[in-house]
Amino acid sequence: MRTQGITTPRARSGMERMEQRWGLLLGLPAMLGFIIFTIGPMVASGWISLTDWNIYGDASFVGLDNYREMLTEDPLFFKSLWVTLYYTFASVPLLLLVAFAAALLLNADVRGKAIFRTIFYLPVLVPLIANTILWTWLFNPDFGLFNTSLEQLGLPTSMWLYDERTVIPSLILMAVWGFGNATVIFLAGLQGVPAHLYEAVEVDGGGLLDKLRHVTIPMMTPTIFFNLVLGMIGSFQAFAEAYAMTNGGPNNASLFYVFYLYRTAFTESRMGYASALSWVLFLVILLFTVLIFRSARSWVYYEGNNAS
Amino acid sequence: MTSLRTGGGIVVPLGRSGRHRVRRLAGRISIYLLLIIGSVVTLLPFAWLIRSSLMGPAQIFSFPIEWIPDPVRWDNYPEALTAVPFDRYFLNTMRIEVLVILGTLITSTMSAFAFARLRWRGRNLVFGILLSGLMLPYAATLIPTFILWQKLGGLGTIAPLVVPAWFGGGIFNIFLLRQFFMTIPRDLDEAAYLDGATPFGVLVKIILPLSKPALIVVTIFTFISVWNDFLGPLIYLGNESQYTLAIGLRSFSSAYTAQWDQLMAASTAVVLPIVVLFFLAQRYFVEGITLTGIKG
Amino acid sequence: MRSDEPSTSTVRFSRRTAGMASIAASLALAGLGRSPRPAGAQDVTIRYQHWGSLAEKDAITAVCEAYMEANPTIRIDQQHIADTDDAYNTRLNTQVAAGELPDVFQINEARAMEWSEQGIALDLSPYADQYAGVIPQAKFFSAPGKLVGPMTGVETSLIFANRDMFEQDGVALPPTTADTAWNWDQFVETAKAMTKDRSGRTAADPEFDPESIQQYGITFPTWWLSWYPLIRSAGADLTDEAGMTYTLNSPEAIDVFQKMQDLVFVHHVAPTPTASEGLPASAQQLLTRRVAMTIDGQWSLLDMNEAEVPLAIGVLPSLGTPTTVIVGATTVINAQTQIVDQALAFHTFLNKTDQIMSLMTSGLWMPNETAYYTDDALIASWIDNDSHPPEYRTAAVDYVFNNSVPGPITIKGFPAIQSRLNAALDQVWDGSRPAADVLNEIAPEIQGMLTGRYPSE
Repeated sequence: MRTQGITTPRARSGMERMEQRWGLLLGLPAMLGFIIFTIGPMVASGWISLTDWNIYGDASFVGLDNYREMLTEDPLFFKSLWVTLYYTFASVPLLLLVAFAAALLLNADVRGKAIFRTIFYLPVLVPLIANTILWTWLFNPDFGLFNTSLEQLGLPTSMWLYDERTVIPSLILMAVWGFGNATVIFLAGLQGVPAHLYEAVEVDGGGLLDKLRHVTIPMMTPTIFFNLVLGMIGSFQAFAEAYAMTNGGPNNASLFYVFYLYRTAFTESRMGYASALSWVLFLVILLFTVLIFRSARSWVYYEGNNAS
Repeated sequence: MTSLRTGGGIVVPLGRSGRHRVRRLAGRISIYLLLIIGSVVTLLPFAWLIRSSLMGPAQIFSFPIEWIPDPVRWDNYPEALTAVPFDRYFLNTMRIEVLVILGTLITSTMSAFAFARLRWRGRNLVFGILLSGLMLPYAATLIPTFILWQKLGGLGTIAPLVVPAWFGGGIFNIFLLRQFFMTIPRDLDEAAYLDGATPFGVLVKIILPLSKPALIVVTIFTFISVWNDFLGPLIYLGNESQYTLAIGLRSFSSAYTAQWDQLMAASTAVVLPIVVLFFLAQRYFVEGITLTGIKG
Repeated sequence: MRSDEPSTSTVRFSRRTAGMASIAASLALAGLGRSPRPAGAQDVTIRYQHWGSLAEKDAITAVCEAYMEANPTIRIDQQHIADTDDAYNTRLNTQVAAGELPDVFQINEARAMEWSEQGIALDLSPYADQYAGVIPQAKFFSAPGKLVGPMTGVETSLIFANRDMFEQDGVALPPTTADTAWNWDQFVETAKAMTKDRSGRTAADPEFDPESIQQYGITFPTWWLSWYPLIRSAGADLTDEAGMTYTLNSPEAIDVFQKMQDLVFVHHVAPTPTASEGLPASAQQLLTRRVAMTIDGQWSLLDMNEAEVPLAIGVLPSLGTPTTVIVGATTVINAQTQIVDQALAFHTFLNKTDQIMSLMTSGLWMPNETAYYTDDALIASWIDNDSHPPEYRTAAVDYVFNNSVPGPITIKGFPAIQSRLNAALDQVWDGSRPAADVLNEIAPEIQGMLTGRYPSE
């Protein structure tokens, strides 16, 4: 289904040269920015990761010592990695599922669509600081809205953020509350699904589920992919929840990797070790992203795609 | 490689007319029901925020929970908003907003166009590398970046918050626009090229007019992220006269641990402009994220 | 030392400022300027950074303005960061890394000693006589005789109570002198009498329903502000004197943590402490009668007064020797500053209680000078006002002066030790494991982090 163009070989080679030139030119700001604000600091931090720099005084070169310590002597490294993976792989699919369901509902021919859409989006707009304060309060076992309501209904209560077993599920609940962003993106994707495809299913006598399976989901794969990548990256970098709500507790049960990294750098001033931590995180995220992009080739469908 | 699978060959016998209509009606009712339940659940914490912003300090913590402020304390708002100079914080924030959004719109469309619609050697590799930057935790480059700005003399100014937006406008925005651009049929470009247009001309005359909604999305996302950015302004801005709303709110929350009513009022006041913006732009907003673009 | 003397090593001086100064001077001569200024005087800017609430900021702004008024050639570039300890530390760390530290800055005490050791903070011992009036427990040293700085605002750990709740139930208020401090049993008994379920039965009642508690007797924070004075009172400590051996698993220390855990899970007189940390200021808990007593820092007095809590204060329970802690951050001078004399003059000014009196009278800080704890007239100058209840004199002033010990912050590397320890202690606070198990289990890890202790003089 690709459009490969209708040009002659000679014109094509001229166009190739032009595209080459313009591609580099227009991509230049992004590439320059990337070199200055990402690669430069990354290389610097890579170098710092090979030292014992503790912010004051001189750093001495320690080779791969920081990495060795991380892998052999630091239980918190594995703990924080596990916490982050647990949070990511539980919250992202759940959030996407809720967001997709909400988008399907909104895509139905209902009145007040704009109002519902705005309502679902509101949580995304609450400033992070206000959000964490609000939810800490909602979760409070003794005074919070959740437990007080559960108690009034005669239901069992929870310790929410203050129990090792429930802290991450509680934070997942809070994360899922912000499903509106993914919903809006899904909704946009849904509006782009051509109506004639649904008609085709109807002609063939298919019902709602058939439409979903054979039209909606395949046509939505780029959107699902987009939301998946976005959600993964976001939750791998979860930080504010630990920073402002749990301080990584109880007993490190919510010690998100980036929070651990931040604490190592800024509470303990161990810049060398923190830089090593950030490089490892980068590699972990890179690994998962490569896996997702690889897998995308077999399940994501682009209509206008001409890249192979 | 991927072909569209339609529901060909599946024949589900359907009872016509009456039964069909009943099912439709039941379907519609359950859709509304689910939407309303979803809205209530979504709004609950939000209602809690607003309700608290209008209560006196004692009523906020009452048990059993009270939902209706009595009396309604509108005073919380003026009291909260004059306790620290929120008006100045607002102007400071808007100045950064304008500069960042401009830079982002200009440079991210350029880059996204280059990655989506021009074929050049190394394109996929470069894009892959750029995307990997998206995975980079902010904390990882904080110190080296700070040292960079110190060497450039940018500390205590808004340059560290604004300048990066003029260099690509953020990988996320490039990614988003690229996804959008890729869905616009290439025939349009090729026709223009045959007429002698340059890629820049194609970008400005063909792609951008078709991409207004996507540009609005980028604008809103950028607006929100600047509005909520906390660590950047905290580290780079020198003193209080330069503070943004996010830091102002944070100051307020650490300074007013006892005045929850006012903290909630201030928070609500900081959310409000975004809500209004979203409400005004939301039609374009959704349209803009329409990744599948125009259809033939 | 006069701060307006031209310094030999003046920085931040440019022809333009000199030119402006002379214009200002001629305007002044013409009667148009605000204050007279000697022609050609060299302006010096002192960059000063501190954190704190808006009340603190306003008081300190006033101090800076008064200082500039008195010293027309000095400009104080005041940078106020209203945020958590973490955010402030982030800022300091980035500033150090970039060589951008302010000339004078407030800093968390544990870090201050590290930075003094590293030569980032100026050694104040050559100027020790400037700080001779500061109470001994409120000075920090990074090596014997090497003065880091005096505590900027002195704080301590106290019991705050809702007076009305006690009077209504006819329960005796917390003792207000160190000599009469409750022992643990008396403390638990009172907490039980003040804890009630929804049917109004107290925790002392056999019918009491711990599943539906309406009002708690006591809350306490989980950081060392609450437990450290108690273990010191019981004769225990986090480490030995040298800071080389972990001792928090001594029978006395274990007993204290177990007692605190029992408050929540055996006596049901306290909410889970980790959870109450998520709550707003303790003032709200007292005001709304969800809690009758709370252990908290002296600084809460400001909030309590603003919330109009019917307040009573008292001393902590004693497990042997009546003991509280003295707590407070410090302000140091950047060792790299080009304007040592000016920075020093400003620093000593900041440490003069009478210059920052509004911070004391509002209830936020306590003075760091001995005279304000010993001289009746001087004591009256900061506590004779509506912010301080009558029992404040014995329950806070005398209590801090006579019964306080410094916090565990003099243990080297305390920030890192603290984060490990707090994580382990979570298991005590959430009731999942007995104190002995937790304190023994963490022993090897903490032991491995110990490298000594900073001296106290």
